[in-house]
Amino acid sequence: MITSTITYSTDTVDSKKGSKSAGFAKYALQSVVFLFLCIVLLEGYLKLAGVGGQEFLRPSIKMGCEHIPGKRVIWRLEGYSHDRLSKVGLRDSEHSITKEAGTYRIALLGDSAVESLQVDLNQTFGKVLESLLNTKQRATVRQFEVVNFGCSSYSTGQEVLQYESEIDKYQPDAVVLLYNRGDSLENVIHDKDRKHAEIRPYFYLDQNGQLHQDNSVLNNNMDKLKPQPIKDFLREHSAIHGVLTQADLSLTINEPRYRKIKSWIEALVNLPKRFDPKNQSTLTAIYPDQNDMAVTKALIERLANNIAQKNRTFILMIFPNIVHYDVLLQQAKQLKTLADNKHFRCLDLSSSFLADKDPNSNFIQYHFSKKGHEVVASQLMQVINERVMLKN
Amino acid sequence: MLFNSFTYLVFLPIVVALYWVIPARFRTWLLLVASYLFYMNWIPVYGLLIIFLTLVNYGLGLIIAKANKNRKLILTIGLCFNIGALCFFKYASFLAENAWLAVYNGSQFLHSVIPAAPISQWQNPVVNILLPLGISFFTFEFIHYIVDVYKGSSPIYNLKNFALFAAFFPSQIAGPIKRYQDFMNQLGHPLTLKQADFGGGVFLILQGLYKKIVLGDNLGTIVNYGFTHANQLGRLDAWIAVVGFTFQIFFDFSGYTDIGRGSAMLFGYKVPENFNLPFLAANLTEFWHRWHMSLSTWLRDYLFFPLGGSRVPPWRVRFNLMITMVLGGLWHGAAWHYMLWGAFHGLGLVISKDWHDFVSKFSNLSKWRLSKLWHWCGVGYTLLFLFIAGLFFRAETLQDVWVLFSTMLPLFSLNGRSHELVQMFLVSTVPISIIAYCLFLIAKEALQKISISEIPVANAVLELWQNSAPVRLVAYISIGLLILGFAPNKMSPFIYFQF
Repeated sequence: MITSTITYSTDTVDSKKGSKSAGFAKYALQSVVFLFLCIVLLEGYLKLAGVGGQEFLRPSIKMGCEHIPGKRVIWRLEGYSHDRLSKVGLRDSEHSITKEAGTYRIALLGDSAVESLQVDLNQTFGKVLESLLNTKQRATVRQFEVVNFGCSSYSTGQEVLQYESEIDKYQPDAVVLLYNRGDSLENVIHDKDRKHAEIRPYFYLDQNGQLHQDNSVLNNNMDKLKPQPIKDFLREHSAIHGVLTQADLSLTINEPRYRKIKSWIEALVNLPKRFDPKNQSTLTAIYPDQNDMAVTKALIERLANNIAQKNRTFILMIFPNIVHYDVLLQQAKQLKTLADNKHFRCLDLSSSFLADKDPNSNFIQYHFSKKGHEVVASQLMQVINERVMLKN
Repeated sequence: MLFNSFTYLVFLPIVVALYWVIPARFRTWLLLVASYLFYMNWIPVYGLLIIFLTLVNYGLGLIIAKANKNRKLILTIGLCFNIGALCFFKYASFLAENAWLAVYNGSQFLHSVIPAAPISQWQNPVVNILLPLGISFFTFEFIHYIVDVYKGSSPIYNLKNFALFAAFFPSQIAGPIKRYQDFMNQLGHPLTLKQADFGGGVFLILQGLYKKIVLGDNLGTIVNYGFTHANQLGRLDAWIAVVGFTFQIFFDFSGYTDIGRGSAMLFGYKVPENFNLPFLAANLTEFWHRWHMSLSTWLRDYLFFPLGGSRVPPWRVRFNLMITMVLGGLWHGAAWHYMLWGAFHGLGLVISKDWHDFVSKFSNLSKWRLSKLWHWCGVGYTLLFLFIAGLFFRAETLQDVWVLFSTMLPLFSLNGRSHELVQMFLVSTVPISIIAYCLFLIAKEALQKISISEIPVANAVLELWQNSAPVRLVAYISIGLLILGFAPNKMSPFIYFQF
């Protein structure tokens, strides 16, 4: 009797346990299915609405970052554009490396101001310039081709490296470099900033005035720059990933408390690294703090020399300074002197923008508006005309 | 502290968690401290202002309740004190500037008539007083309190409770304007957090954030561009700017209210509703029963009724309506265009009332009034009225009002202006977000009508929702991500924060 009772109660406990675990499994499965459904729905809806497609850069061992080739970018941060980057990662239509005979090719170098995600591709000054030149200058040249190599966050140093490694093979007849406010600061790194520096190559001048490349920040962050299949896939294809990255960027810029909490977490995560002797060595300075303009001028000089060696035209364009910002005024002055000494053309866009009744209408925050792009294109066309005429 | 800021995102969960963890007797204290921290996050010194106003009104309430004589005098002093504080912080600059303008223009006019008369040398006074956040709201709550105590309601004897009523952070900055009787009944209840309250609170917060960030802020970008480029707009552009603003302010303010109500629910408190589908109102009177309900009932109870309400001769009723609405307009901000907005609404209410009386006299018209066509025509007219009224509210000068108004009308030529705003609207996320929101409202309405138990799939989903915390968590995170994705680059404050 007792035995049977015990047997009976054990059965009940087992069956209860079984039904509990079955119930748990059922809910776990339902939760997973629900999670999957949510991800699919969210991805679909975000893609339909054109949201989360603003991530267009990927890590690069050599440059710190570069465009994701073929990425469909929907830009909403300021202005609007909806385009696909070219197969080689240009914010431009497709261009073949080999140049057609009789074509005058112009390469545009610069940061986000040249990249111009704030307006449609056809409204960028590169495209407007190409169209203007082809309609008005067909008599002297069979065809003009403008190739936009602009990439967000690039410093002058990165642009020089970009020319040497990628652009040279495109055999451009003219190279236009847009110098933007703040570019000079991005070329050098001060010792105190090394820990939190942007991941990119930096430059310095030695005691003899020779220009050198400092890859210490790149090397120190090599783990972040190496390919990471899952992360790379998400970066290229996931709108949710794009939303999170964008939110992180916006919060980092706009919310001081977010920055603080983030830095605490990062410090905590990087705690083991601090005690790693390998990392210590790369974060130590091997040269004194640099004069950013001296380094920038050396970089531009190097670029100008490279271009001149191939008998090509170099035009240095200076971003318009409509607020008479003193630092940029001084920088422009130095760059104009450099241009005179090294015999290349320097085009300061300030005067043409200031001539406008409403100079602000040429900008969307810190970038050119559609109208601003038209002004740049018309200014640049005049300089290109001069150069083409000179050559002919 | 903004409801749509990262700081609040961190602040709220911490306060909620602490609230339910600590013993019940300390919870009011916690909410009070949290409310002051919330308020002082902006300008710490203004915390003293709210404390000072709280102490004075607490004392006034007790004195009025205990006094056998001179009660009216004490009430008058109390009213003057509260209105004085509001006027000092909110209207001092406006009053000083307009007094200067009156003297200056008067002396100019006098000089043109009598050349010997001197022109005023009085300099334009610059009064730099930063408006304390939410002063219009908590001042109205104080007025309600002392008036109700004067009328015989029991005062709040516990200072801590009274201070919490005044400072309760979910409704501190932009309402809803609470009634102390409702609030006091909820103090200390419930003792444990109910799943329904938690779920409802989180849902309201997410709904509010969606309205504010996804709809309001994105519409705001388009509307701001329209109003700052009023001279360059095409006809459709002007319509988009004007209609957009009416919806922007709704999404912004009702979004704020939802977040506030949701936050309050997480502590087990119920804050009154402020909106009830206002754009479906068939006339202006109905609109004011659906829009900013806590303000309109306050204005009714503490201004319109004391003026005599509707129990006075017809001309006085109209006068009372106008006065109530003009002052209601001025309550929104110290500027003439707010007064004009109020006067426009007052006029609309007078016409609406007269039209109602006129229709009631004719039996045929009265029958038509019950038809759907009549109803929807009324909705259309009311919306049109609101769009025009919104112009007065949003435009900073009368010239801007005229420019936009004339651009909207087909009588005026536009010389082939571009439709930049139309393009901006079409490429923005606003159209798809509005469609999604409308679908959500329709689904919500349908779910209330249909019995879920009859639909097996819906039943299974509901069961899953109720029994699985991970499922709810995933759903909340998904909606949060959605809001994050549609958020503009920079968060903008709530429009009603400036009032």
